Amino acid sequence: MIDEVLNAQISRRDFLKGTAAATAALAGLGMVSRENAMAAGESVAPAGEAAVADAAEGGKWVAAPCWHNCGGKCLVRACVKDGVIVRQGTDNFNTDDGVNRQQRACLRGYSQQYQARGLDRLKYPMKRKNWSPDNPNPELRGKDEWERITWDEAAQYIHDEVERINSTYGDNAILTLGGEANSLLNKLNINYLNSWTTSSWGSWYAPGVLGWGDGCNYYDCNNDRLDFLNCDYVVAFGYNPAWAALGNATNYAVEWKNAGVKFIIFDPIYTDSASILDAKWIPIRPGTDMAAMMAMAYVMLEEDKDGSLIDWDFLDRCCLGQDKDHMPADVKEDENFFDYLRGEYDGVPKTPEWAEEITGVPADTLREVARILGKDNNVAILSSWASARTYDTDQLPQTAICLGAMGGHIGKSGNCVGPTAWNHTNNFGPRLVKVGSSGPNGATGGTGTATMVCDTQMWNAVLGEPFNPTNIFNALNGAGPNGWKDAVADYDLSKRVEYITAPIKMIWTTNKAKLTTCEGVKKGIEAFRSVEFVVGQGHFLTASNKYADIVLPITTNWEREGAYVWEGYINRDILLISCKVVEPFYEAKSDAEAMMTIGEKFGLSPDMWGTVPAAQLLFNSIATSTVIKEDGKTWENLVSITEDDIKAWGVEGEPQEGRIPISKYMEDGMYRVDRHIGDNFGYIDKKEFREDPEANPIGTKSGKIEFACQSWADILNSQGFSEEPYSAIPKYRVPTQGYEATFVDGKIGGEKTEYPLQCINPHYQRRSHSIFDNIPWLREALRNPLYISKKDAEERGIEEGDTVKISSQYGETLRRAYVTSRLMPGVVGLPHGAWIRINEKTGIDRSGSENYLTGNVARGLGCSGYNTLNVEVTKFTLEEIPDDVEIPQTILFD
Amino acid sequence: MNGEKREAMELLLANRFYLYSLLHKCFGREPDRQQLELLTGEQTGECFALLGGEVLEKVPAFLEQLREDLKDPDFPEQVKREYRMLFIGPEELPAPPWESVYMSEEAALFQEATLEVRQAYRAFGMQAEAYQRVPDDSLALELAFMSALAERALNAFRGDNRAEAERCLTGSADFLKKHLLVWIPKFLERMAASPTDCLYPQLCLILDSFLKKDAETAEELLKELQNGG
Repeated sequence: MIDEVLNAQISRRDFLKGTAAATAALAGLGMVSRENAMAAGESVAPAGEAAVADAAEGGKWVAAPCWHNCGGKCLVRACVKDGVIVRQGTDNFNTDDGVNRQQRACLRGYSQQYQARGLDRLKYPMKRKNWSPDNPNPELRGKDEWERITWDEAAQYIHDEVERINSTYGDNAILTLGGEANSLLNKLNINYLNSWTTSSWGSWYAPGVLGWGDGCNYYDCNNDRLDFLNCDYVVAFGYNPAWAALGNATNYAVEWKNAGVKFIIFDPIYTDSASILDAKWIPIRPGTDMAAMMAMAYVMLEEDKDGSLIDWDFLDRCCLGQDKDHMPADVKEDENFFDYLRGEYDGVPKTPEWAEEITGVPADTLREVARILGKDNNVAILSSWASARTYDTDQLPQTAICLGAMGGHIGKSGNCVGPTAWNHTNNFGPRLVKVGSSGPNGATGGTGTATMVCDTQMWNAVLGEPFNPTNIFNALNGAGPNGWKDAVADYDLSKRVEYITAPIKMIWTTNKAKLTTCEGVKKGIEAFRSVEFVVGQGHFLTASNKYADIVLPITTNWEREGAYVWEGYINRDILLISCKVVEPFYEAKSDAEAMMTIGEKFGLSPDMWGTVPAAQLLFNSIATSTVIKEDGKTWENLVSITEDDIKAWGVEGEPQEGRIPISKYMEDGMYRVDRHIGDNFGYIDKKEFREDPEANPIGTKSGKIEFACQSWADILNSQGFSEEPYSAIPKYRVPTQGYEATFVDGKIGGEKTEYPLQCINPHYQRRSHSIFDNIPWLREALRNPLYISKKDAEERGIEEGDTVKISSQYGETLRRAYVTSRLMPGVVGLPHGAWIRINEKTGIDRSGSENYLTGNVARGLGCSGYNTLNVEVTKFTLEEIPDDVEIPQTILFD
Repeated sequence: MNGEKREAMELLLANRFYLYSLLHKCFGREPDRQQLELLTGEQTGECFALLGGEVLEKVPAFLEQLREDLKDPDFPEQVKREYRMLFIGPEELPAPPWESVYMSEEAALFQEATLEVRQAYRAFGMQAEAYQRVPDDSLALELAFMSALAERALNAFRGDNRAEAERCLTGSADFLKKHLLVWIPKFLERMAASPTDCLYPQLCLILDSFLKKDAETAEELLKELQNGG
């Protein structure tokens, strides 16, 4: 090169001068962006050792539990070296034997760093290019280009628009999706709209009125996991922890199986859980579980001889509404459950033959299970949320409870009836290690409040249609068995709720990615494009953010001060704690910091969000956390704290004695109370009630189990979403978009409609709801196909791997077919939670988004009827869709 | 070392300092008219062409074309748009400009490559201004590092501090070998998916050729310094 220069026909002197001038001119150009600038000088950390062979050497393990909402609530630990995650691990320090299992992470927890440090993270505040306050071009939402803006500019835009919209349109002009923006609007004294949804629970959303827990907020609704070892049978309606929660939820059930408990599972799919539990699988059509329950109750009634099947003593002492001799005082119609089963009111006895036609379960199978449900067997009846995630099954929880009560399977060892969900890792009963109190944080509020709209009506409400503004179901969900009476006290249950309209001009979407995770995506897009301003904030360019005008990058839990993860919603045996793992990513702020930044534009002091440092709050709650002692009655501090600990934390506090040192707790990330058979930590739901119902009433109005529950009927009739009145006793209703609806005029056995199949939405191991769907690792491992039965595939000329189009009356989506004999013919399975990827030209989604197929149907208590959806599946020949792993991340359109 | 040779070496050292600084600016900030005018200045073409080779010899003609494009008042906006699509997001970036993406199979940032790169910076007393918030192995930061080392090498050479010049050139050559020369070709491959080609896809091609040439240049300068007595 030197020779080339020497030989070049140039004046070296002039060339050097020219280069010097150009270099100087460069220096005159503006600075590079901060993230691209290099610093030198004293602030730079000294060079460490040369690279070591094992990248993990010198790393520090910290607690980084999985914070996602699958139900597992498992331990993830990260080995952090200088801000880089060099290894991920899990619970490898607790013992792992039959009764006490390690709280190990699953494939999702193990891919956490590919989420938190993913290429697809939002890095900077962005503004849609063709949006301006004067000219919002709303129709370009979702297809516009983006411009980078500063936090200050973003905060100013949001301030100006919130102020303008609120002063122009007044109350309910701003709809918040997720909760994070509410703290700001509240402090600004702005009345806004927010939403509620039963999307997880289905009709198990408000069983407090029946005296039962919902399985999530109130999780003492079944016996504890060790008592399940005393069951002869577990009879379950939908029960698939192996797909929904993974980890210990399944492990515990396997333990029961190993102890000889027999499983009977009603489900349209022969699930992996049914397989590993050696369950007797009873294929059943989605949305028809109530009919099966009623038929089994009918058989028990029909075949009982002097108490051979029915626990008459229990019914007599503990129940009302089952027959005419046991009626609650408040019933408005003289109807009891047994006479309904016998067909006294509608001329239709609820025989197994009646149910067979609806459910697809052979009558003799129903008879067989009904006999198993007799009082001499120890049986747990578990009704999963999935079973209740169906339209017009608002009395399904009540039916399940009635069925269990008939066999006396309530309030004794080896017997219980209740919902299953996986929030508590399949481990019911009160907590054995409890979160303490952080104490007041010094935050101050305003007078702004939310009017609530149900997700099932939300997009139509944005588009100007009237909606039910009652918050009653949401309040009931929070209030539980002992609080529901107060929650309804302010409502007039004698008259129908009046619908209102709202001038919704702004959508502020924070967590929950509602545009993907809520029914009716197509309608949702229309709603987003109808308003004047949309703000989105989050980790990724989810659909909600993609259709926004301004997008704010938010930190993940890994970038925030430590916290209790899902306080109370975890396995009762353990308590997880997280640490700050890494610094915030690029320009991301926490949701609270984002609100403070915007609040400052309104003149609000950040102190309004709290004056006590986060570390102090966390310290306070850890210091006051308690763990149960061996006697099962008294409690002691979870952690011991020394003067040195307090100094290291930089907080105020007092040294104390406790079960384990605080430093160990923070390093491990969890504490586990070990169990053994015969310990004092067992729990049997409604045991005291069974023993003495007068002294220990349950939460119903009468204090007894109500086969006829007038309270629930009144609530549904006055505040609910259906016109046809509900009776106090549960009655089978033909579900909207259920099996019957696959026939013209609903006539079973007649001509099929253009949507002849039933579609269900199983939880999928690749995702926790919609979270993690963008991770290439997981896409490679799990392909997210459409599950279709061999028979239905053959009838449609569909073979394994074919690209198929799934159509409903609301939308169309593409998937590859997975042809299986494990699925009941007439039913297809489209996994829940895919991120939409819409072809704008054809209007067809290509990701398999279930919500692109669902509609905005408001029925009963506002149930999200995911497992009641009528579809058709056809071979799609216009294009072959690639495997998801071959698709680039976060492209929502192509 | 005779005067002519010394002058040729200084020229090469100044040349690489300019080009690295220019590339750092180009990849490190949203482009505007002023930046594009500097890029298309006469000297830039000559500096690239001096190094020879198929691609770099064509740079003057390419810049000539850009000068033409710049007559369109909207052109800077088009280039800015391209920059955002390629380097800012928030949509999928066709060729993510971080080394770790190409060194591991995961679509993630802050990977082991990040630590290695950080170590190389620290050996010369440098670190990213937004340390810990941003991965150290972004294209712009790696170019910032190379530019800073090039400046130090030039200044050391001018000040007759041969040891320092050698140290900086060795550091540059090592960094090229272990990092930039490994991942930039893969990055360039993915750049083919760029939806537009106003400037950056071509600039990436130029970058790739320049880095290869500079590796040779640095080695040669180093050898000359070591043998230069």
